[in-house]
Amino acid sequence: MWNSLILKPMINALLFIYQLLGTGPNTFGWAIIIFTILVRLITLPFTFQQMKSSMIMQELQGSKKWKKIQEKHKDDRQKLSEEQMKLYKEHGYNPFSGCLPTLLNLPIILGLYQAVIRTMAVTPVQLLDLSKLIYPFTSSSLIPLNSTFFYMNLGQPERLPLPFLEGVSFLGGGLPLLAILVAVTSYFQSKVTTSTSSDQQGAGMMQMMTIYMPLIMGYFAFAFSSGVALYLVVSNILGIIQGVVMRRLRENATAG
Amino acid sequence: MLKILHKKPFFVFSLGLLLALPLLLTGCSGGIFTASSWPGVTVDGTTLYVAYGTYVYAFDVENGTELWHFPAEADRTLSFYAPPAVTAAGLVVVGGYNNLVYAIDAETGSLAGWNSPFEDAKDRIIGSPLIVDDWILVPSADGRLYAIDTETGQPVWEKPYQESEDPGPLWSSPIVDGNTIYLASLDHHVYAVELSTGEEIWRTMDLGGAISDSPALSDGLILVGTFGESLIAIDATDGNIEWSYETAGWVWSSPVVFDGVAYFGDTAGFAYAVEVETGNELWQKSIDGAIGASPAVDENGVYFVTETGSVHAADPNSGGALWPNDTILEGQLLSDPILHDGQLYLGTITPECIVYAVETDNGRAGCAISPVEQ
Repeated sequence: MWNSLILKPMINALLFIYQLLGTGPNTFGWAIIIFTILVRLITLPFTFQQMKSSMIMQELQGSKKWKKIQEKHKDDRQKLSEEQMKLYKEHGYNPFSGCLPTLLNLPIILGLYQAVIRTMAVTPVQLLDLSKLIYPFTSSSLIPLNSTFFYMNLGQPERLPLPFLEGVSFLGGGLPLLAILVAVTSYFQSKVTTSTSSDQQGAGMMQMMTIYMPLIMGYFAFAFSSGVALYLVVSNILGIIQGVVMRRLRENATAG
Repeated sequence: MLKILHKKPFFVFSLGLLLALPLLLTGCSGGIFTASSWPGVTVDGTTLYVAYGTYVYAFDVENGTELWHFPAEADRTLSFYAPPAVTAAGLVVVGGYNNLVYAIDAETGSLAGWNSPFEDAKDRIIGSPLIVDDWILVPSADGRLYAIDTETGQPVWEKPYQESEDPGPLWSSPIVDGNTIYLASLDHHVYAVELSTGEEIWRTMDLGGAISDSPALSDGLILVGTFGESLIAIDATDGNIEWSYETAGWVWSSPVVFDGVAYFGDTAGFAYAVEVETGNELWQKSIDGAIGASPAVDENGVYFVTETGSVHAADPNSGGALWPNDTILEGQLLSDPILHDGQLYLGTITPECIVYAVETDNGRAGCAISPVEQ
């Protein structure tokens, strides 16, 4: 079911874009970029809904009314819950409205990531698997893909060759530029898309995540193929743009 | 912490989701938890060599006893899948996914002969090395073929073979006839190369699909299976196409020629017998599961293995089944089966058994070699 509904359509769409672009050097990199943009556009309504909910929640938590309720019912958890629900209703906020878009978005993000990895098929097992994921009308003459993208091999971890880093073995003889970009863009994406919690402990955890997640994602980009790193950078940049636009829209709406 | 859990279910949900995402991403991609390929199996005399994962093993083929494994101590950075090749001087030559080629003493399992592993290749060694007199020919996924001196491990020549700007990966072992090497590439071409210099003699036109396994040579014809869903016969003297036979799926593995007939399978699960001289079909039949390995053939039968773990024995002339039922084994069967002394030896991807032995008379199977506790 996962293969039929998510993976196969994505892989074949990726191959279709690759074919349209002409299958030469650099083409697969551009196909990843275009495909990521298309998928992010398709999932835009879910993402906006999720971010909107998050912002409403953030505004609620910063309001005087919220703090008042917290203070008033700090010893009665049941009552506090009831009052919070009332407040949600007043502001037209559904606590699950942020959860559903996230759930809908997750398989698409996973599918997109897998589609990129599986289409590159850099090992015999992956290539044999790919034979089962291609629709009959998708030309198998496209395989294997030309994985060159400027100075990178999209099937290998990326390193920008710099003369002074040639001997630095733990870096792999070059600058991991994409991995750095992944970490930086992940950080900014977290910054613009996650809401600040009014709770001290919650805020602390959120801050911790904002620091650790970019490092984890950066490490993946450092260790895995650059095709995935390219996807992560594009996806993060689009996430940042979405976040900034959403914040502006919300600010304008509140001001108006 | 408990307070947060109670107050902010969505926050906790998001936190869990974010922390689980990297695991989901890597787990689902098969990047770090699954093997990249299947065991490479070779028999030399009474020793069976298996390259699989972090080790190269040598077993006594008669009783399944492990003779040695290389390296002696576990090294997680190593992975071997290409079938090892054995020189007349008793060196086991094996290429790794770390781009290195090792020469191992066939008696002791320790590094021998060369000062250090051959390290000129820029990408993984997926195809088996080929021993030709005093040289070893090593194909690399970097698109180059390396000729190495067997005794010293020093390079003799290296050449890229490419149609376009970037060389296509070489995933299969070359074959040699006289002074000519025939080399199949994932870039859709077959190359004929001079053995002594590595200079290209001819290359075919685009064959319509990638070629992942070695060519077969028979009566002046080079036979290759392609991802373009065909078996193609090429004139060995000039690279012109003589005939092409259409299949239902990708032809992943090399055809095996026996008595003027090419036997092979495809990823759609069909087995074929085609006359080499004319390209005419003798028979075809559907088998349960994609066929990713070359069959084993002798005068009594053609033995196909499939990705779903089936072993099928067919009559070479008619294609009729030789056993009442196919033998079904645990795990995927993607390594080329090896016929030795009335037994089929099959490398598998399963934790219970590395190599199965199947009796060709009746299809009875048993585990010949179990994984050794390291």
